[in-house]
Amino acid sequence: MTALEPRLHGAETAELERVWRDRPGIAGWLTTVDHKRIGKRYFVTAFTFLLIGGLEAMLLRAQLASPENDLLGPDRYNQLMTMHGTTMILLFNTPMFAAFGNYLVPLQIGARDMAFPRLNALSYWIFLFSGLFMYASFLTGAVPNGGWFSYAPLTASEFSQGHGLDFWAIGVTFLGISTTVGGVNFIVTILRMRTPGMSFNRMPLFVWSILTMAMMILFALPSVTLAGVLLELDRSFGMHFFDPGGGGDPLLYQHLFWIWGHPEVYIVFIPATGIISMVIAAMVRRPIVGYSLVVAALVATGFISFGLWLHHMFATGLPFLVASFFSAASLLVAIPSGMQIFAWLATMNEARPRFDTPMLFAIGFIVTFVIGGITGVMVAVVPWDQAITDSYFVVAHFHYVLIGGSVMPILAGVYFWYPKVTGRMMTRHLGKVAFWLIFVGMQVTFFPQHILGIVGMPRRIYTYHRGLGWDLMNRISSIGAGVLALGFLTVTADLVVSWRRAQPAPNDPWGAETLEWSISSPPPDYNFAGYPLVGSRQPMWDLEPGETLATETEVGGESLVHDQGGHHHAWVTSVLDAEAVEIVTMPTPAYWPLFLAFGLLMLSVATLSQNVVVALLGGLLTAYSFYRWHGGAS
Amino acid sequence: MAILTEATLFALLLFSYFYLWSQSAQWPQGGVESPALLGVSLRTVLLLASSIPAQLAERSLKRGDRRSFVRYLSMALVMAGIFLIGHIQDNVRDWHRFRPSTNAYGSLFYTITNLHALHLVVGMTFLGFVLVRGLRGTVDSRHHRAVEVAVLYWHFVDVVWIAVFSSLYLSVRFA
Amino acid sequence: MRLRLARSRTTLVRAGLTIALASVLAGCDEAHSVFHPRTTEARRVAFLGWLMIGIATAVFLLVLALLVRSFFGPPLRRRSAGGTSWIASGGIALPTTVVILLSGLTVWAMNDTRTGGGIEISAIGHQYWWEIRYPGTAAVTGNEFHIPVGRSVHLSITSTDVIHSLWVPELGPKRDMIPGHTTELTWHADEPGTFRGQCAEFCGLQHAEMALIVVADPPEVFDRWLATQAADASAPSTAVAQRGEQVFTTEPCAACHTVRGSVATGTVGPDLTHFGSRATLGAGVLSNNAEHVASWIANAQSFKPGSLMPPIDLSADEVRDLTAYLEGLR
Repeated sequence: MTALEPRLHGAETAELERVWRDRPGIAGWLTTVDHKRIGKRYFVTAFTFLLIGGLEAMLLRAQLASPENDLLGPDRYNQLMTMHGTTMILLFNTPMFAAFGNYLVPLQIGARDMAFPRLNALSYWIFLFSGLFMYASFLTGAVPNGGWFSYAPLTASEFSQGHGLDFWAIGVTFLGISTTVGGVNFIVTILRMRTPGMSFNRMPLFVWSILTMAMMILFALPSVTLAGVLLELDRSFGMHFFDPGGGGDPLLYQHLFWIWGHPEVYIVFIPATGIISMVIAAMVRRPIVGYSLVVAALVATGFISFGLWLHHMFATGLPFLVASFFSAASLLVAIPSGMQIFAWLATMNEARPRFDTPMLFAIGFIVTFVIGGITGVMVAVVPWDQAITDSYFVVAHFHYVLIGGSVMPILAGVYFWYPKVTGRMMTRHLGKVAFWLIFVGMQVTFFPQHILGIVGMPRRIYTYHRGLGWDLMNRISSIGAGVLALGFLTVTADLVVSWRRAQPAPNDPWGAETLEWSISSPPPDYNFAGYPLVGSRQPMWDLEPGETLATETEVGGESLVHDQGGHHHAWVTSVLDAEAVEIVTMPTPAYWPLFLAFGLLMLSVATLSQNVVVALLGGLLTAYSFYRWHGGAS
Repeated sequence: MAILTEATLFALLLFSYFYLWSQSAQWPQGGVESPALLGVSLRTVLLLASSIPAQLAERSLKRGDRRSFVRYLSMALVMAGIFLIGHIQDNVRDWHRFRPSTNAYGSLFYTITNLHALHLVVGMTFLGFVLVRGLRGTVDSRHHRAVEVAVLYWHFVDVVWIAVFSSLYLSVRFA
Repeated sequence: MRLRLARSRTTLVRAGLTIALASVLAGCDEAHSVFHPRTTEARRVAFLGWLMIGIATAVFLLVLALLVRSFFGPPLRRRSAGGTSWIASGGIALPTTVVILLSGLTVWAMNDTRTGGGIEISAIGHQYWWEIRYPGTAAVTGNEFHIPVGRSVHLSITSTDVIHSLWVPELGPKRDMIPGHTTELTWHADEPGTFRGQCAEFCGLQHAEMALIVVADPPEVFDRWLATQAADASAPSTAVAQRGEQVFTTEPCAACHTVRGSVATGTVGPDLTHFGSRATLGAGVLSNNAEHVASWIANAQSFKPGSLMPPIDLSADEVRDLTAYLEGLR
C-alpha cells in the first residue's frame, strides 16, 4: 500500500525530507525513532490486544449465558478471566494512550519529535515483547489464572503451581519499564520542547492531560513493579513477603498492588478526557469553557487519585478512621470529574454540535461515564461497598467507567485523528453504525450486571446454579456482549475500508484549533519545517481564512532547514513560558532500542525458566546495547 | 525523573518494612538479632562523606581542573568501594544467622539492602564511565552534562542510604 | 437528519432507563438480594442503596437534560448563563453537597452495631468450604449454620489457606477471610429464615462452588439446634448404618473428616458429625440426598474438579452402607 504523498512546501523541504526519512525496508522498520511511526505501531499493537481481550470476554460471556454451562471448565475460565483483565488494562488501555500521546504531543506542541526518540522506540519494543511474553504462556499451557490482580496467597507457589503466575509477575514488571520510560519521555518533551510562545497556559488540554498522566505514571508504576517483583521473589526464591506462615502479610500485596492500581485507572481516564476536550471543542467550534478550571480539575484528579487505594480493601477489616478517610477522599474525587463534565456541557450548549462520529462517541462517553461515575460514588460509601464489592455490581461499575470513560474517548479520538494520521477520510456511515452498536451493546451488557451484583452474584465465577434468579440477567448481558463485539468489529472494518478507499484528507477536515491541523495529512517526517509561532490557545482559529500558520526557520543564525551534516535538528525552550529557543541535535534511527528490549526479554525468560545461561546472555546484550546507545550515525 | 521513580520504589519498600513490623508480634521476627551497628555506622559515614569528593570533582571539572577532577572522583570511588566490600562482608556474615527465605524480616532486610547495593554499583559505574571520559578528554569544562547527572545520581544513592540505614538499623534499636 | 438522529437517541435512552428501572424493581423481590435485608446491618445498607439510587437518578437526568438541551436548545452566550458558572454550580457545588451528605451517612452507617449478650461464632475459610465453630461449645459444622433471631451474632473470621470472603447479602455486608488475620462481622437478625451466601473473593479453581447457608431461628429453636450440634454423633441404629460406620473409619474418610464420638478425627475436610441435618453437600454443589451422597463419594471431582476430595473406590454395597450412615448423622 502506498502512503499518500504529503504536500510539499517548496524545494527547501526536499533536504529536510531526505535527512528525516527512515532507512528503506525492514531496516527502517526496525530502527525508526520517529514518534509518528512509533505512535502508529503502539496503536496497531494495542488495538490488536483490544480485539484479543474482546475475544476472551466473548468466551466468558458465552459460558455465563446459561447456568451450569459447560462451554468452559473452571481452569480455562479462570485463565481467560485473568488474561482478559490483564490484556485490557495493561496491553490495550494504557499503551493506547501512549499511542495517542506519542503521535499527537509533539505535533500539538509544535515540535519535531519527542525529547528522547530512542527511548521512545525502546518503550514500544518492550511493550510488544512483554505482551508476547505473557501470551507465550498459552503455548506452554501454564496461563496466568489468579485473576488480573493476582492476590497473594492464592498466587503463591503453594497454591498456584506451575509457571502461569510467573508469566504474570515477570510480564507485568517487564511491561512496567516501558510505561515508566514513556512517562519520563512525555514529561521532558512537554516541559522543554514546546514551540516558542506556547506557555503553560496556552497548552492544549490534551497535552495537559498527558502531562498529568505521565507524572502519575512516575509515582504509581513503582508500586506494581514492586508487587510483581516481591511476588516473584516469594514464588521462585523462597521469600516470605506475603506469606503469613513466614511472617509476611497478604494485605501487603494488596496495598502495593492498589497503590498503583487506583492511580492506574485515572492514568487511563485523564488522557481520555483530554481527547474529549479536543473533540468537543472542534465539533462545537468553541474553546472549552473554563480552561483554567479544567486544568485544575485534571491536576487535582491526578493528585487525589493517589489517596484512594484503600477503597479496594474496604472488606478487609480496616479501622474505622482509616476507612472513613479513604471513603471521603473517594467521594471527593468526584468533584474534579464533575467540573470537567459541566465544562463540556457548558461548551456544548454554546453552539449546536456537529454530529459527526467523533461527537457521537463523545456523547456516548458523557452518558456512560456519568452512570459509571455515579455508581463509583455509591461504592465510595463504605457499607454499600462492603455489601457489593467483589460482586457483579462492581464489575458493572468499572466497565461503565472504563468503556464509557476510556474506550469511547479512544474511539472518538480514532475517528477524529484518522484523517490526520493516514491522510484518508473515514467512511461516513460505518462509524455511526459502530457507535450505535457499541453504545447500545454496552448498556445491554453491563446494566443488568448491577442487578446481578445486588441479588448476590459474586464475580469471577465460572458458573452459577439454576434457580437463583440470575439466569435472565446473565442471558441479557451475554446478548449485549454480542452486540458490543459487532460494534468493535465494525470499527475494525471501518479502519480497513477507509484505508482502502483512500479518499484524500485535507490538512484540517474539522476546522479544529490546534497545531497538528496546520500541516499536511499525513504530516511530513520532520513535522514542521520551522517552528510555529503561537500567540494563543487556539493558534489555528487565530488565522484569517486562507492564511497559513507562520513559522520561523532560523534560530540564532542557524538554519532549521539546511544542514550539511544531515543532523536532525529540533528546538528546545524554557520550561514555564517557552521562550529562549535553542537548537539541539536529535538522535538518529538505531538498532539499540530493539536490542536492549530484546536483552530484557531474554532476562525475563531466564527468570521464568531459572536459566543462568540465558540470563548471562541477556544481561550482556542489555549492557552492550546500553553502552552503544548514544553512538551510531543513521 | 528517573530518580523520582526510583525514590518511590525505595519509599514503598520502606513502607512495606514498617507495615510488616506493625503487623508482627516481634521484630526482627523469629528471634533474629537486630543488626550490629558499629561496622555499618562507620560505613555509613564513609558513604555519605563520599558525596563531598564527588561534588568537588564536578566543580573542578567545571573550572577546567582536570587533575583534581580525576583525583576527587577516584577518592569517591574508593570510598564507595570500601562501603560495598563492607556490605558484602556483612551479608556473608549474616547468612548463617538468617536468610531471605527465613521469614519476611529476612526477605525485606536482604532485598532492601541489596537493592540499595545494586543502585550503588550502578552509581559507581556511572562515576567510572565519567572518570574515563575525563581521562580521555571527552568531558571538560564545557561539556559536562554526564558528570552532573552521575554526581546527582550519586547524591541520590546517599540519600536513599540515609533512609535505609535509619529504618533498618537505627529504628530497631530505638523503637 | 441531525435532529431526528438526536431525537431517536433521546427516545432510546428514555426507553433504556425505563427498562433499567423496571428490572431493578423486579430484582428486589428475588431471594438473597441486598435489597431483601433481614438484619439491622443489612437494612442500613439497603436504605443507603435506595437513597443513593434516588440521588443518582436525579443527577443523571440533570446531565441528560443538559446534554439534550445542547442538541436542540438555543446557543448560550458565554457571558450569561453558560460558562464557568455551570462548572461552579454543577461541577463543584452540586457534587460537594452530595459528597458531604454521603460522607455523613457513611460515618453513621459504619457505627459498630455490636451489643452485649450475643453469641460468638468462628468462621474459617478453606478451599472450597466453610468451617464454622461455636466457641465455648463443642459445636463444629461446615457449610451450613444457624443463628438466633433477636440476639447479637458476632463472627470472628479468618482463613487457613488463601483469601476468601464471607458474604450473605440478606444478612449484611461481606467480610474478607484473610490468612494471618482475624476480621469481624456483626449480625442482628430480626426474623427467621434461610439465607444463601457465596464466597466473594476469588480463591481458586472452585471459587464458584463455595456456597453458604445460614438459618436464622427463634431463640429457643436455636438453643436446641446448638445443643444438638454440640453433642457427639449418635451411634448408628441400623445394621446398614453400622456397617457404614465401619467403612467410614477404615476407608480414607476418617483421614480427612471428623465425626465426634467416633475415631474419625481428620481435619482436612468439613466436620461431618451432623452431616445428615444439612441441606446441601460440597458447599452447595449438590442437594443432600442419598443418590447425591453416593455420587459425590464415588467421584467428587466430577462435580467439583479441583476440590481436595479424591475419588473413592468402593463397592456398591459399601457405598450404600456409607450413605446410610452419613444420612443418619443428624
